[in-house]
Amino acid sequence: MVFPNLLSSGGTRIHFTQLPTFPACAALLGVVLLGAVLLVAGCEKETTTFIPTPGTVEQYQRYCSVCHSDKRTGAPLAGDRQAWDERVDKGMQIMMTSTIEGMGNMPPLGLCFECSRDEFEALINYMHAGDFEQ
Amino acid sequence: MKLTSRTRRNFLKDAGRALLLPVIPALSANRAGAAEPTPIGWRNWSGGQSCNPENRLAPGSEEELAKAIADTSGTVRIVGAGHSFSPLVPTDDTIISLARMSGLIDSDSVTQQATFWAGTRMGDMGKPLQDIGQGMINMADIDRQILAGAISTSTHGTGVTLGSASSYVTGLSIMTAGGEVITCDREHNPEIFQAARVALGSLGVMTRIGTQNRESYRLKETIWSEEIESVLARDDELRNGNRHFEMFPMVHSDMAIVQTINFTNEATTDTEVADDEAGDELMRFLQDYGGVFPWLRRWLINWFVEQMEVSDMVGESYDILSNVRNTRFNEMEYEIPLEAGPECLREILRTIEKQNVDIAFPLEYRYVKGDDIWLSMFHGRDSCAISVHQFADIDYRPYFDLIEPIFWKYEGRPHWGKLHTLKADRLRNLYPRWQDFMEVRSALDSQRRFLNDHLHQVFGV
Repeated sequence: MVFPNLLSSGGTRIHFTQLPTFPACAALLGVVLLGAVLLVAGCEKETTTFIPTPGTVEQYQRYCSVCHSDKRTGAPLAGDRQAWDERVDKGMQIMMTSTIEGMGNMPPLGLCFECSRDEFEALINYMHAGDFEQ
Repeated sequence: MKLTSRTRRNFLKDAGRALLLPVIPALSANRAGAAEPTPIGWRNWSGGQSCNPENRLAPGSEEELAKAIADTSGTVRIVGAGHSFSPLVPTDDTIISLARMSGLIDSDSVTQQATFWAGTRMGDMGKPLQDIGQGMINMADIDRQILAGAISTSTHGTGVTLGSASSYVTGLSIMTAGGEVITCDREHNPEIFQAARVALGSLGVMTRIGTQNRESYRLKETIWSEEIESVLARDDELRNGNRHFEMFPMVHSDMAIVQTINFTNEATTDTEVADDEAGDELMRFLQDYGGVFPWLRRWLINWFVEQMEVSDMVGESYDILSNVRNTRFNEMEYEIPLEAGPECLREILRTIEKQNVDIAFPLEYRYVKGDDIWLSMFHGRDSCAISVHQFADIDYRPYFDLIEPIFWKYEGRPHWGKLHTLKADRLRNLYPRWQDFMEVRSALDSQRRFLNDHLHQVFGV
């Protein structure tokens, strides 16, 4: 159902039934400060460049580059750090699921039927943080 | 509303944005959150077919391919881009990818022919051919398939003077279960040639494929909206007056999107980035809620389609003929005699309307020239191809089960790569050279290594 989901999260509405106590306020403040520190730290994006093996480069060229070097496909372009950050931030597990199952126009396994999990992970890291000429 | 996208159904995109913009982020978030890790196996593009084979191999040469076949036991199936909706690939034993056997091998500028490795993606053929002054005569509407897969299932585009991909094969090499490479064309091993051009991968593994091409060329695509009955009234004119003609009848409406493609010398126009997400959401909305108020659904679809205005697009043939599809679906398609096309389409539309089927996907209506290939869906007759689609994550069976008997009434032959329920007992009656094919098949693959469960049922062996 589309519209009910806009009004609630997982079917749970938030209610405040009593005012918070002082210890609770102190604990809440601590959590907020800790969160702020982590948030600032999290804003420091990884900027190191991923160095691929020759095998990863070959697999990228044979399979991934078909779409990830062609902007007309709508796929995130290899080396577009910002586009990949948005995806990689969801976690490698979700990235792997998208790779194995495919996503949109992208076929399952990205056409690399012989690739292992490690190889897929290397390919994701390469397209995310490899050195590509834009 | 001004639309300029190259994808065929993108008129829905802008409409979807206008209607559903606030809804889309919530939907997208829900789907992302639902993702779960899965083991590595094989699945097709729609996700409807899957398997966990013991071996996943990708040989890089004919020698490696022969070794791969010799070193394994049980069923061997070849996998391409996974764009077949029917269960042609699944096996628990061995799947072999030809992705490392790809590229142009040689060409002949006099005959306008070229030979490719069988694992070459259709999307990787256009530019190399253009570089030698050639162009494929026709293409399917997507170019992700590998050449061997397209040939094996008689994949086609549209155009009443244009045949399927299989009909432009001039010769091929095929490796048998014993590792022998057999070459065939109209003069050499002609019976194998007639069987192998459409064989569902059941004879052996194609390694090299020769194709008949023409000089490279540019095309102009024109898209507009028109009432379905108006299009059918001038079906002859549109079919015969254009190199390519196809129609997307909008179900639960009076309207269709019409597309024609013809030769041009005009300058290439810009292309846009593919983005079908909003169109996907609009179709889902209409599918989920349209049946509650059928009159409103009809008015809404008619209104949207009437508003569309699409720019003509000009480009190299291989760019114009292929499309990007980001919305996943399952598909059933039957090829019926050309002259029966309009009436069959009308009956399908009436049935959907009468049964108030919750479906928003447009139908697809195309024409294909007949050929002489034994198991080609177009064997002996010019044909009209009609396709029905359902979202990949929705059970297609109730909808397809309703429509499939209509195709049977019109002597339809199911597309080999798309969903259907026919088995050998009925299929053999649709193909006059069925027995000839079966004899070649059993001679080349007496151990039945290239048959999976689906093909055992299809061939009745």
